[in-house]
Amino acid sequence: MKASVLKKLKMHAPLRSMKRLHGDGGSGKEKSLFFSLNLTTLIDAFCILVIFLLSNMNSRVQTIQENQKVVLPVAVQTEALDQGLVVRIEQGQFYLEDKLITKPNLAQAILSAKKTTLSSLIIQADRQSDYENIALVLRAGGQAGYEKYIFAVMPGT
Amino acid sequence: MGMSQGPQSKKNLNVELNLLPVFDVLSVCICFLLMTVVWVEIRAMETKQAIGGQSKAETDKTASVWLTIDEANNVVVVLKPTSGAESRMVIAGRGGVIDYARAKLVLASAFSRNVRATHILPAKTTKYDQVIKLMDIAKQVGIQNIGLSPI
Repeated sequence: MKASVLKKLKMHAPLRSMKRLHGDGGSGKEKSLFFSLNLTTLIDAFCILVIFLLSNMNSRVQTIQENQKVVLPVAVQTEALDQGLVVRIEQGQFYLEDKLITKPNLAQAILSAKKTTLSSLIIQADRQSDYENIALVLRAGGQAGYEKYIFAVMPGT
Repeated sequence: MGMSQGPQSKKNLNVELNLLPVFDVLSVCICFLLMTVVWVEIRAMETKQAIGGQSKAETDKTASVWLTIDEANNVVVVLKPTSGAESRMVIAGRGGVIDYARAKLVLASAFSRNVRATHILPAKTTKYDQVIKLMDIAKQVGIQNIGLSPI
């Protein structure tokens, strides 16, 4: 490797022109302080990491914000979370896409927020919620024309 | 691995690539992907509204099992076959919660009798966690068609 990049860099190094650094203590033949690292294996590992991370990315799947106040129930037989309108039940209060909604206005709010492309309603509720609150959302979703309900859960074993 | 092109020519054909820009790009890629990756993935459990979602004529005439949860977490199981008489049994709650082990046995038995649909009718005070667990058990035994009553 006569015309290596490192050799070129060495020739133009400012330290060389200053003659202050000498590998052999300042006398005799000058010893190079540069050393070459074989980066090929590192780049291989990086490429594998990038491919793995890219394959894990799925833009189609909806990501919903995890809330500290909402502890989701655990289930074993689960599917990937699809896209839909998110209704969150937090301490007896209803949030439609992070916007607080009162109980009487729930059906109207879901109906007005309904997007034609989304046919499912995602329910994100605390595991200790009473079913009464869930049923309210189901009823409101039914009135708005939703047929599919998706319950957000944590994967279990 | 030099290739001679003539008696005087000893030109080296090896090329050294500068890998530092590649290294930089990969590092930036990895940083970005690591920051945007979802570490705790929230999963989904799908269902449909069991009652009121469709007209009586549209309702499929398939064998189904109806699970009614009362306020004391006892589960009343009603097996509705396509033909013949309905059978009914009660799974008593255990320590204030649903007896999931027995519920699983009953649902597995229903699945073996070609029941592929279940309707869950919880009480107002039934905890959401218990409803999800019951749905999960139904899916585990193979019943995929699960309906939920809006009370």
